[in-house]
Amino acid sequence: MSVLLSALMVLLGVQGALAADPIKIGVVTPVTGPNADVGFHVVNGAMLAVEEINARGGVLAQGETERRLIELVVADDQARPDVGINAITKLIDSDRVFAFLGPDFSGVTAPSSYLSEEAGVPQLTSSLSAAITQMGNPWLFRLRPTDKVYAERIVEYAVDTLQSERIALSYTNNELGLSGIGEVEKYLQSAYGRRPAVKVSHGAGDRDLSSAAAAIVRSGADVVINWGLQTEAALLIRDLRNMGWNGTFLFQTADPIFVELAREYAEGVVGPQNWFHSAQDEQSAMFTERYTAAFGRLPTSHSAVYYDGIQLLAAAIEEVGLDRNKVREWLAGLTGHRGISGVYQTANLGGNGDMSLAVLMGEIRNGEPVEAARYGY
Amino acid sequence: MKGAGTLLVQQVINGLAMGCVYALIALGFTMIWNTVQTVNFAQGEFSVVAMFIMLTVFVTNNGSFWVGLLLAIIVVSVIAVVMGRVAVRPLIDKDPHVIVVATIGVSIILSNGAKFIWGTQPFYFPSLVGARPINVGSFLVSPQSLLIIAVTLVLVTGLQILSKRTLVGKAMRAVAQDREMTALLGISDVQIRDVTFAVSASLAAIAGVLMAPIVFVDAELGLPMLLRAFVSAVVGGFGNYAGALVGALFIGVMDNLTAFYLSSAYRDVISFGLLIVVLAFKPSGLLGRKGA
Repeated sequence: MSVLLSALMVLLGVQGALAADPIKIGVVTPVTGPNADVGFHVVNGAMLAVEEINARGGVLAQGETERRLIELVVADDQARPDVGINAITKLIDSDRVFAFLGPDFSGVTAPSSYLSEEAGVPQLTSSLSAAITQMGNPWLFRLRPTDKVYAERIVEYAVDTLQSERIALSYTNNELGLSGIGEVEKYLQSAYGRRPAVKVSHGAGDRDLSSAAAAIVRSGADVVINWGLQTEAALLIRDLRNMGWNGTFLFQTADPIFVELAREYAEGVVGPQNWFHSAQDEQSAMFTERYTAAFGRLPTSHSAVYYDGIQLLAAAIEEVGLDRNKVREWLAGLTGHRGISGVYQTANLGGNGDMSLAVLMGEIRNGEPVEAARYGY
Repeated sequence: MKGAGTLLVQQVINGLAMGCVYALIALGFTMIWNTVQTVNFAQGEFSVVAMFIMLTVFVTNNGSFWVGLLLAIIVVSVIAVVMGRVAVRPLIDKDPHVIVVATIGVSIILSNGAKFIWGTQPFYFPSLVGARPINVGSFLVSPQSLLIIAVTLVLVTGLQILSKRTLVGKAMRAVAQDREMTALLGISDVQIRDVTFAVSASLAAIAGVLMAPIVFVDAELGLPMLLRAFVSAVVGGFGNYAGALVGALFIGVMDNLTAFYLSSAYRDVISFGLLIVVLAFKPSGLLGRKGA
């Protein structure tokens, strides 16, 4: 009798433990190394969502009677592919996460994406390279628009909003710049039948952009679309202004790093982001307030999408339960789920895992992006 | 729209300013080559360390420009002297290639040390003489470029006087020509080498400080600056002060005109192509003597 009683207690204990087990969600991002600042905002965006969900008592998964807390498991990829593969393997095999977010850097996401497919684990990345969702992995979803979407919005802004007559293209001669400026040039031609006034490049690490600036001035361009790295962009706009050029500078990463380097020359620069903290809507304002209170810094676009990523997974689990395949189907079937960073609408975007078309066009004024246009919100 | 001629002249002036910076590093190369008969590949990193010291004192802590400059020169000179004593002196009688490898090792330590202390993000550095360009005739010229050109002229003149008119300069040349004989004459080759390393590092430090407002402060800058300065010194004539200066100005202007008329993607192709041509057909450089 006592043996039976003990066995019953053990079983009850196990059941109790299972019911109380948290749902592990991984996040893979650079926590150390030169890109650790990206990781700071990735982790804290996700952490804020986890804290808010857990403060409500956790997630009530479909088919269960008891709420579970979410446990965030952070893995450091150092923005390096080799480290990233190990980090994701650990999340899947050792930590046994239900799903995971990241990586952010396309160079890490592309070579590691087979891991989520092999294991059948939902993965929500923020990488921008269009190729990431063209590899046929049904478990991989992208929380941000591709560089192609950014390119199209920039061109539309230049032609339709700014009524530009002559557009110069400038790019950093690396994968990022070549891919982005290629999309810009293609869309400029296909949508408007236009060719650039001039197309100039600079190397990654170039510190003398005056020749590129002179070539742009000589072309008579009234708008420059620059696609590349922040440091080179800051040098280019400085040289352009110092040569007396008064046109509008459009840059795909007009973020705080660029503003810090370009200083007064950043004024009036326009750039697209999936989200920024001064977005003109109540949801964004409240998120910014909560994030700043929690972490002492303004949130970035990464903070917002990783916050949304956790909220999306929690919503999926509440609706379809702790079944990875059903969660994958739920994510694939989204048609209009509003997050901080715009509307997630996987089913409307070709069914390859792209979830968002959200773009905020921000014009830098007094060092801060001021919303100039919004798309996909 | 600006006239092509105006833009061309502006490109030449910008190129001369960049060339002056390369020249200061190349002159350091030349001094060490003339005294120790080796190439110091840590010269570029000396500039980077000086930039960061200046950034810390002058920008981050709002300190005095002159204190920052002095500190940058002193710290970099001390590093160079220590390098000379620890990494170069024990190898002085070995194959010169071994010393070159030792200086590469020092450059790696300095580069990674800078990244460790200051991080890998580039930093803004304000112009030392006003950011806005000034009108010189019909040209818009960056005052920072003019400052760089002026300072370089002063330093080159000073270096010439040091080399030809002072006892230290004569001793440096004597050590280069015959170390044992100068030792017999009571001139300490160790001290002369210390002076050489300190002066060459000071030139690199000043180059870094002058360049910081133009290129921002970045731990990744050492190698690109070093390569340009090295090409300059070889093209001008290794071991020749005038050659280093002419080579650097030539490379600076050519870089800018290449980017202006062709594409910046061809800068390295043209520069290193020129290096190959010089090494193949006139290894003594533009101003070098045969056998130099």
